[in-house]
This record gives sequence, structure tokens and C-alpha cells, in this order.
Amino acid sequence: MTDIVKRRFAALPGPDQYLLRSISAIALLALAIGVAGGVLTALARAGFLDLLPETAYRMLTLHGVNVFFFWLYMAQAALLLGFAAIEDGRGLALRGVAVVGFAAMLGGFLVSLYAASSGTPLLYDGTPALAAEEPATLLAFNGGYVLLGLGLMVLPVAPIATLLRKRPDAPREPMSATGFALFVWAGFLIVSGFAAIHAFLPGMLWALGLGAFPASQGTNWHILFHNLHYLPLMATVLIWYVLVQALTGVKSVFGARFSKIVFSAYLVFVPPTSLYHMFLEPDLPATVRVVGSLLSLFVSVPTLTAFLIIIASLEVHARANGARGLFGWLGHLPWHNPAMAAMGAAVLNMGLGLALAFVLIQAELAPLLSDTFFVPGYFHFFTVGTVSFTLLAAFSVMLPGLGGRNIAWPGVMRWMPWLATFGLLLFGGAGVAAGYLGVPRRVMDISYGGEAPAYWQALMATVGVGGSVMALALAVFAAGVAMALLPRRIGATVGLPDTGLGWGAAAIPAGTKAWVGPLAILVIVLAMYGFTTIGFELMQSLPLTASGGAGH
Amino acid sequence: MNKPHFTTRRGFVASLGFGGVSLYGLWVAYGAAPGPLALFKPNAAEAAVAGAHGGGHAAAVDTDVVEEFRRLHAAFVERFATADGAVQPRVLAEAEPEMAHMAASTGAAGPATHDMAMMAALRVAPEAAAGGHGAGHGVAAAEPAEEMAAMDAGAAHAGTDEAAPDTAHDAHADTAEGAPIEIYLLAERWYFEPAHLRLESGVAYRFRMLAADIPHGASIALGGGSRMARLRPGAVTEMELRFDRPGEHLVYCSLYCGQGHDLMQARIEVV
Repeated sequence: MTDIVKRRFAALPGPDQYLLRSISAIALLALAIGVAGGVLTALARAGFLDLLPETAYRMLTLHGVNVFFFWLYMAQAALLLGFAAIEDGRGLALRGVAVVGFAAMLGGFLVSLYAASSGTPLLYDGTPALAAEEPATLLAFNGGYVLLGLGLMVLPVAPIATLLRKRPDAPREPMSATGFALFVWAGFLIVSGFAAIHAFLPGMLWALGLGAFPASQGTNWHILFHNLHYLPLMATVLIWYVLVQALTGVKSVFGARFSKIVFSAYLVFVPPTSLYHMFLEPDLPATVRVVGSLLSLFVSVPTLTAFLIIIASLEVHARANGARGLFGWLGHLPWHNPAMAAMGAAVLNMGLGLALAFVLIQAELAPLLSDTFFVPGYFHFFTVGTVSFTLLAAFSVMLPGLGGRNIAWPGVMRWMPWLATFGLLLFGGAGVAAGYLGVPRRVMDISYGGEAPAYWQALMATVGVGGSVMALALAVFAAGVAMALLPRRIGATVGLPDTGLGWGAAAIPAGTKAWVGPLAILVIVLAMYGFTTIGFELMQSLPLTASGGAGH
Repeated sequence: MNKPHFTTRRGFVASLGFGGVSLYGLWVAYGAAPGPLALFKPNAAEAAVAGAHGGGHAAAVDTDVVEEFRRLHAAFVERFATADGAVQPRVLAEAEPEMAHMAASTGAAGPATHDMAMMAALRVAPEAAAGGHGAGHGVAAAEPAEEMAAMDAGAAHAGTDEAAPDTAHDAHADTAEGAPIEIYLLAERWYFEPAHLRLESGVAYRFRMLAADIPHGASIALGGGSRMARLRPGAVTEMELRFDRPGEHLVYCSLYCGQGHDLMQARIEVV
């Protein structure tokens, strides 16, 4: 089945292929720079690497800017364009618009690289007050993001036009669930682009002497940040939806219409749930904090539902094809394929990330956790374990089709998602524990001249080791994918061998059960309860009684 | 019998998607969220949180407040500085708050009145400050008098460090039940001032904190966790704290504030 998808990519017009390969290459370059910055940051925090504070914070800036912004968005742009282009097999409509969008994003990437490498390190959110005396630094920093935002607002016009284009052979055919999800995804990228411009244009204008100092950037940043890390989850779930079909031949047993409703649910549930990022802001009204907590409970609804659609569809098809036992069907999945391994690890990491994320949406726990290492501890389960590996899995299918050269070392690559998950368990486990125990994030030397608890450093050392393992595995997987961008070797075969699975063809017997998805949800919810309870119990055990200070 | 199993029905799958929402029950059990019925009462959500916290607020105020805060902060440090470099705020007498109240109500001239006016300027009406976060703050207008009285009470005994602890201890029994002792904590790149606070366990303190230049964090490491706060430049953030037992606690900046961020620390010694 994977060969079908690859053949559709191979059949795209040459200029489309060139554009997709170019965006993919920049995305992978951003990932490489970001991973390098991340490893150096983790090693410095762990005490394994002696860096000057300015250098260490610059590494963290490079890490955040390149991974959070340019890797995630360049990758999404490339994959959105690619999968939209093969929807009806006729390539991209309005390719020129996509080129203009990509040019803006590329310009933003270069400007941001310069900004992150010079002046005061501004991390990745670029608090304007830090650069109040360096307008040129803020101009470059914000300019990079504004260009990225412009690109994100322009580029998705091409896939939208592509998806809305009528098929000459079937003009009345409704849009497929995949096409609909791609359409929503394109809309999200436009919204994210607008949010980036909304957050960073005022600082740019101030630096040019054309506007007031952007004192409210913090609030605008939180809106952007929420979109930044939740909307890629929608892309992730969509890629699972597409790749599962490509790898196993399985389509949703719930029908395309239901899938469309679930994908639409991201529009309903994600934007209103951004308030929890602001729980520590001192001027956030109490009512908003309570309402924000309640709304945030709904943030996982579309992701969990889409997850259930995919798992249940896989399970019943596997059973229809002879799989036995509650979990026996899992062994029938094509794990030898790196894309399948990446998706499997991504699902596991998403469960962990969701369980931990729900601790942070409770306003009462914000004064305990919000600015601690709990935050990077949990979100790497999403950004690395879930989203990045899923995006790379999609690249592992798309790029061989585009260039005709296979991904490298598939036998090694299929283990990398699991190795990364092991690293993540160390990084995230120690990081979350450190967060519960008060270790701040965004501090390089957490010894505080020997006044900090000794176990802080031990936890950070574990974070450093886990982070290095995770980064190594991610880098190997990304390098294997990037090899497909090189020119095709003479005589080389295109793509990986087909998985041989064609589960979709089998009729599903009435009454076939699908229990694994519901069980997984039960485990995730129980874990949410467990991690939240730990937070409340820790809060109550602190040797002080406190009130106020956290936004009220 | 062509019915699909219920685990493959849309309704079942859609319902399970809401599984995370059930966490609300745990929040209610811990008193961290209003009960379902309370949600439908007017201002219930706000009341639930205000009740859980007991008050405190932060407000964005005019940048002139920074200078006013600096002056009050300097006075606070001067009055409660001890010979070993620590700052040990305390109440040494019971009558003086009443005197301060009188001064406030009669408009008596003098340094205390001047300070009270500034304190009033530092305060912002709760409604304006926190969007209607009024619970527990209805007496804001009267509080400055008590606050300055607390400081003045300490000032009256400044320089008598040898005798102060015992006297202060006697007064704390009342103080713990009444108005908290004011503490002024200034955060600026890249230090906290005071850098060493000596407090007493079981005594209520109202931390009044201000970032003078850029946003900072003011977090207290408490062994099994930390209590964190974010400070906005030019805005006084308040937090009421009562330490339950003696110990040493690191205070650190938890909001990245530049290259010297790692160096920004202070110490609270609870005796």
C-alpha cells in the first residue's frame, strides 16, 4: 500500500516535486540546528558542559526558535502541500502562491538564524523588555517570526485551491475525509501565521520607531504558543489517518463524515482552551482562571476521538484478517517499517503527554508547576515523541516518492522511535519529577551557589542523559529520512518494499469488538488522575500556607 | 444480527473522547474548582476561587509606582535590618496600629501619613485590578494604615536587635490572628532585595513584590515543591504566606530575565 502513495508523489509535476523537496530540506535543516542546540542546552543544564551563560542561553534560543517554529511549520507546510497535491493526482494549484509563501518562510528562517546568533539571547518567545536597549536585536528577532507568519498565511492558499478544485471526471464527488482534514489544517496554518504576526509585529514596529513599546506581547504570545503546540497535534492525527491507510489499507469504519466532524472539532475545542498558559499572570481575573481551567478540560476531545477512530478501525480490520487475543492484533502491524514504528511510539508518547498536560490546566496547581521543568518535561513527549516522529514518518513516505531515493538504514531507523521513547522517559520522567520538586525551567545553573537542594542537580543530570539519547535517536531517524533527498543512485529501487498488508479488503464480521482503544483511554485518564493527585498532594504538603500571587 | 459491537459505534467513541473531562470530579474533590451546581449560581466561580485563596491580588499600576515602591522598600529594609545583614520584619507593639488608624482617619500630618498616601497610590481598587476580584479586599482602603503601622512599629525598635526577637515573639500571637506583617521584596536585574529575610514560623506575612525593570519570577523552594509567582514591571504583586515550620528556603527568579538570570537568588530563613 505504501507504494501506491509513493507512486502518487512520483507522478507529481517536476516543479511541485522540486518545491516539496526544497521545503522539506529546510525543515530538516531547522530540525538539525534545533536538535544540536537542544543537546548543548541539556548538557549545560546537567553540568556536563561548561558554557558561559550567554552561550548556553543562545543554544536554548537556537533550539526553541528552530524546533518550535521553523521545523514544525516548515515540515507542516511541506506535508500539507504534498498530501494536498496527491489528493486528486493533478499536482498543486496556484503553485506560484506556494512559492511566494515558502520564500517568506525561508527569509524568516535566515533572519531568525541571524537574530538567534547575535545580540542578547531572547529564547524563543522574545520578551521585548529583554531587548529594550537593543532595538536592532528585537527587529531581527521579531522580523524572522513575522516573515514566517506571512509565509504561513500565504502558502496554505495553494493547498486550499488544490483541494477545492473540481475533478473533471467526477465534479460532484464530495471531498474525502483526508481532503477535508487537509483543508482544516491549511486553515489552522493561516491562523497560526496571523497569531505570529499579531504577537511579533508590534515589537518590530517599535524597533523601527513606528509604534509603542509592545508591553502586551506576553498575552499575544500565549495565544500563539497555544496554537503552536496544539495545532500540530491535529496534523499528527491526520498523518496517522493517512499513513495507517497507506501502510495497512485500513480506512475508518466510522465513515468519512464522522471523521470530518472530529477533525472539525479541533476548530471548536482548541482555540478557547488557551487560557491555562496565563494562570500565573498576576493580572488575570479569578473568574477567567476558573473558566480557563474548565474549558481546558476539553482540549483533548478531538485528539482522543480521532485516536479511537484509528485504533478501533485497525483492530476490527486486524481481527477480520485473523488476529486473535486482546492485544494479539498489534503484533500483526508492519513494525519493520520505520513509519509504523514512528507512529507506534508517537501514540505511546501522546498518551504520556496528555496525561501530564492535564496537570497544568488546573489553575490551582499553576503556582506549583507553571514555571518549572515540569513544562519541558511533559511537552517533549508531544513535540519530539509524538509530533516530530509523526512528521518524520510522513516524510519517510513522501520523500522517496519525490526523489526516487529510498530512506537510509531502515533496519536501524525502525528502532530509533523506541530509543527516543526510552530517552524521553528519562528526560520527561526526571523533568516532571524536577518540576514537581520546584526546579525552574530556563535556568542553566540550578545549583544557586550550593543553596538549591542537591537532588535538583541529580535530576538535571538524568534529564541531560535522557535528552541526549532522545536527540541522538531523533537525529539518526531524521538523517535517514534526509538521505532520501539526495540524488537517486543509478539502479536503485524506489521506496521500501510494500508492507504486504491489505486489511481494508476484508469484510468485517458483525459484532467484532475493539477494546484496545477504550482501554488505552482508560489508562490515560487514570494516569491524568494520578499525576493531578500528586500535584494536589504536594501542594498541600508544602510547609507554608499561601494565598494570592498567582493572578489574584 | 448485523449490529456492530458497541465499541465500534460512533456514539461510544465520541463519548470516550470526552474522557479527560472527568478529571473535573477530582478538581472538585480537592476544592480546586466549583461544584457543578455552583457553576450556575451568580459569581460562583469567582467565589469558589476567592474562598480557596483567601485574597491577594496584583495590579498593573503606573510606572511611577516603581519609585514609590523603592522608597517604601528602602524604608522597610532600613527599619528591619539586623546586624548580620538579614532583614527581620516584626511587630513589636500592639497599640501602634490603632494609632495609625487614627492618623489615617484624622489626616494627621507627619511621615506616617505621607507613607500612607503612597501606599494608597500603590493599591488599586480590587475591581479595577483584577476584573472584579473583590472578595476579601473590601477593606483595602483601611489596610494602608495598618501596613504602615506595622512598619512603624518595627521602626520604633530598629537598632535594638538584641532585644527585638523576644519582644517580637510576644507580639506575634496577636499579629498572626490580625493583619499580616508587610514585606517588601524588590526584584531587579539580577538580584532580590532583601537578599536574606528572617521570618518566624506560624506568623502571617504579606509579601508585596515588584519587578523594577523587566518581568521577573519570585519563587520559593520549599523542599517538596516550590511556590511560584510572576512579577510584572511596575505592578505590585501580593502574596500572603505563613511558614509552618523553621527552615531555610531558596528564593529564585523563575522567569528568564537575561544573562544573569542564574544569579538572581535570595534566602528566607524561617526561625
